[in-house]
Amino acid sequence: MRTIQGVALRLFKANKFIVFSSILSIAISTMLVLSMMLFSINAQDTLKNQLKQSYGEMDLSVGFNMDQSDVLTPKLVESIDRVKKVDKVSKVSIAHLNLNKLDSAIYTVGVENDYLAKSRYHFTKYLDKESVVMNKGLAKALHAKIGDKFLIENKEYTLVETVNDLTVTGAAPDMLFLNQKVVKKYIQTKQNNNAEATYLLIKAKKGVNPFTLSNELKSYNKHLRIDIAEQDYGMKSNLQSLHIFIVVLSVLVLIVTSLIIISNFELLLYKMRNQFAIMRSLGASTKQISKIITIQSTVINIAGICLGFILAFFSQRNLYKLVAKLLNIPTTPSEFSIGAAVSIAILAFIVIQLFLIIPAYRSTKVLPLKTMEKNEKLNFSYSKARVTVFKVLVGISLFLIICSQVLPTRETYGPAMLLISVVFVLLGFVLIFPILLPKVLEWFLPYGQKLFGQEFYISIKNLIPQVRKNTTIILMISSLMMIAVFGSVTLRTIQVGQQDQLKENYATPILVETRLNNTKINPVEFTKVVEELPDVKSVSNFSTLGLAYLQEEGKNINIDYAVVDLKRLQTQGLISKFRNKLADNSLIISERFAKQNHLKVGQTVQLGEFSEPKQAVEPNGSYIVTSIEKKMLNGADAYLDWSNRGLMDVDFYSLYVESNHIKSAVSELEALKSQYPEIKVSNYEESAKEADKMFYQRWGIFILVIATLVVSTMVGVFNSLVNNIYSKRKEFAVLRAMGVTPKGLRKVILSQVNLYIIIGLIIGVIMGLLTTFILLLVDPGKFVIDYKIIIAVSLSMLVGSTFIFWFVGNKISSQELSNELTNDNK
Amino acid sequence: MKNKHILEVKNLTKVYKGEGYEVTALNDISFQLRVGEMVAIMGTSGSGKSTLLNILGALDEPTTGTIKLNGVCSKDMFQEPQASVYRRDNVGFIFQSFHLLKDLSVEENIALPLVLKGIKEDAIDSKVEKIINLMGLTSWRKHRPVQLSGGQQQRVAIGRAIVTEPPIILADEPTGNLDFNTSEDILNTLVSTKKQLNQSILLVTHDPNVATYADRVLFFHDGSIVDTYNCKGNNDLDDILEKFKLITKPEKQTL
Repeated sequence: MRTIQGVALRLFKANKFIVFSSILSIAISTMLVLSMMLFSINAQDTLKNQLKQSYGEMDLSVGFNMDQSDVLTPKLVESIDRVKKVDKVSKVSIAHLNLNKLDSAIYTVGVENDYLAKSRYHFTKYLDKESVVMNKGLAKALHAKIGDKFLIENKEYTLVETVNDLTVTGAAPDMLFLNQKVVKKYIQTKQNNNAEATYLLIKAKKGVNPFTLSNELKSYNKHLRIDIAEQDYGMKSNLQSLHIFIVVLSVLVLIVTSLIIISNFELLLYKMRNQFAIMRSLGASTKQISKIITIQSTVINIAGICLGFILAFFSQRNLYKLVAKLLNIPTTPSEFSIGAAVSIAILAFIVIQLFLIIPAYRSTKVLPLKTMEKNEKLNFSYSKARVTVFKVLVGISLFLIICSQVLPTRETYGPAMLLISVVFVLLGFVLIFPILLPKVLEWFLPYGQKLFGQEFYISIKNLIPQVRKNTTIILMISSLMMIAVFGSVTLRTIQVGQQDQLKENYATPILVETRLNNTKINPVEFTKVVEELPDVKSVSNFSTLGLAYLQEEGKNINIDYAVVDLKRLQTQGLISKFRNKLADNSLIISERFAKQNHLKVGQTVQLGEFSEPKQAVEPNGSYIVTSIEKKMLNGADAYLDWSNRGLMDVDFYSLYVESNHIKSAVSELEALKSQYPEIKVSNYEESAKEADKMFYQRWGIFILVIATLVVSTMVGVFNSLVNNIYSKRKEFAVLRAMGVTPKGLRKVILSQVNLYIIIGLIIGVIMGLLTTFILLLVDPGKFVIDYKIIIAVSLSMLVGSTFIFWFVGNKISSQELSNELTNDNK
Repeated sequence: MKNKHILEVKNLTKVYKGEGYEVTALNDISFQLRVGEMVAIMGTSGSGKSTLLNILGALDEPTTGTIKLNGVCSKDMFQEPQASVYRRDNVGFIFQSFHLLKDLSVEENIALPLVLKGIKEDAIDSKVEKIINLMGLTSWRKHRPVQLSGGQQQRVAIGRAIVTEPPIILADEPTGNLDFNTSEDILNTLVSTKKQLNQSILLVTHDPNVATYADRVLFFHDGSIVDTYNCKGNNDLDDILEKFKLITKPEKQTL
């Protein structure tokens, strides 16, 4: 102990439990955060690897089906190769060549020696015109080893490599790989054509959207079949949003952990305060005291992070299996990304260390012994200033909330305003509650006494002056409850909102949409193609929204219109039956738009369109209001038929498909992807199932996090409360000397402890609901409170505290009274 | 050197102001402390003794007046961080309740002021060794305060106070919590330390017996120095008692 660092560590050793519980809290949080984050990264990486395994480096493959008459001619291949968006083209020829040894035709792939082919088929050796590669299954059947020679179509080839069986569909076909020129020549000879290849593996240039490229390639030959190498869209988007959810939860976990550690340090500071005061009297500067606390907090933080890291490393194998099974997400448990783990651990360290500046700062307030007040400072400084700041913060919050709902710029700035208002409300609350709370308790005092007895009265009387000292305990509990409420309400509200949204989106059980913004799909033609599918009962189309103007009394009023097939829409019941006959210039408008602009059925209106050259709205023609609909799809103000020809500045957007056999219809529609690669086929049943699955994935993670936080918070809170109780042993001894029975003393202790917890829980629930309500104003809708979570967390804490403090109360009331009365408690 | 003044206090006044009241704790105090001198400050409760000690230890700030230590008068000595530096470099405290750090051992408690001062590690060891031997604590060096008697704890406190060789030691009722025999022991230790190290000591007490160990006694009453006494070395107790009785009955006081 020859340096300040030495003093810091020396004082450490005397407070083992606080140190240990702090390290444990950080370790548990680090393990939780690391496990969640690495799980999410791993899941995303697994998906990427699965894609790579299936497709290699290619972005799409292009060719013609065997049953089509078209072939990939040298000219066509050259044209495709010259496309600006294409980076690399690799030719593949497919044939069935006779393997003499087996006297049977084997699926033969002719490949070039480039990275696209090698990554797709997983071979590494150079394939010249006399080389062959085969899959391991076939090699085993032939008892073949590298260097062996085989006759294929009566020509000799040398085996240069064996590759793993490609089990794409479950079954592993036997495959031979030869040089592409060899197979091409064979096909050209056998089929008497000039096919340059069966299909092409294509790598797009960096930044090129594969869907856009596929559109362009289609323009060379509309019969081209294009397969795009993509991850399961649903899985990909699910994992992305899961990742965001996990990041948000991780931040919350770190914040709660920091509060726990701060509380522990408050305790440590309180225990060491006398010693610090002595040191100040001996000449220690505030900087030296602060350095001691900083060293201690850094040591605890580093130890906790390292322990958490090790725990995460050793548990990840089992944890991944369990979590992947629970959440139905594929992962590869063997991959513990050290780099990512270290980065996350460092970030966690920094976040916690920033919070630990608070106790370090508070340590500078310790006065030298002689000038230290014998009684602790009971009242908050600057009470009036706190009240004023609270009023200002709440005022600004209210103003921002109102702005976020009424201002024209609310779409852009609304969410940010709401977020700021939440922060201000929380800050205001943190400032005001220690001043309000004693007043509330004073008010409650007589009622509490009547309801719960004299011991309860003593507890509250004792508690009121201690509010300042125990602010952190109450904050910890309320933060935990806030997270529980916010998380559960948000998730449940999103779940209900999603279910409602799905019902709204799926006007029919199946939806076919385009993923491209400027698609070249002809809606009318595409509708006919889909209609011809055997399991499709009915289909209607819907365009993107175009902007027109209702020209009325010299004014131009915006009208978002969609071009649809009105007859088909009517057949499907997606619009009401018309009273009047349909004409080319029939206009269907929404009830809202009709009310706003005083329009009626039968009325003729003038519509205009903005002309870029003239930079003004030009009249487009007159249209007749044929029907007014209560509900319009996709937020359109109006529908026009494709036959109108006037307002057509739209593209294909979606098809609404009805079917009696949804699964088969979906398969048939999926098959159309080779003709229309940009389409996305979704059905309500699957989407609802996916939405539920996604919800339960997040719910599962949320429950895991809350459970861990409850345990951590309980350790921190109970530790603080135990020390709180033990520091008052002299007071309890005085109560016993005045005649309070051991049972009565237990009641006093339990009342006090449970009162802290109840106050924290109530505040947490209120602030949690308020925060959630404000944030959900971003997208107003139903607000669903999950009472089970609130009850579960509250019960866990109250049952835990009652159990532990029953023992503590017992212990204190059984101590030797004379000793307790003379105990200094320092 | 022995006759040189280590401490000069001039016109020191301390007035505490509250809502609608004013209390003069020290009223225009002036005195000096020589090198190697032990001065006892005696007075009744509320006479200003502790206030004086607080100000001399830069734990409180005077309303008016100056303090010169080693001929130097610093205007900022009562503001942080200068106050901490002043205490660290110039003052050794001995408290009535010892106030040792309960989590540190005897040698660690004694070493603490040196650590705070930033003394080199090997120098700390040799200084601590010297003090432990001087205080007769060799067998107790690894013990913690809770394992020591009151007298032993106060020896540790004395050792801690002198280890940095500060110009002055401020002792606030150092024998207040000790029995008669232990008190004697401690006072003899203080006197011996004073002689061996040429230490200047200002000692606050209400006990005339304790005052007899000093070279000089200042009598306080209502914030002022009302009398002084130079100890002769024998029969001091009666004279001190006499003077003390006088100050506790001010209407009969004659100067």
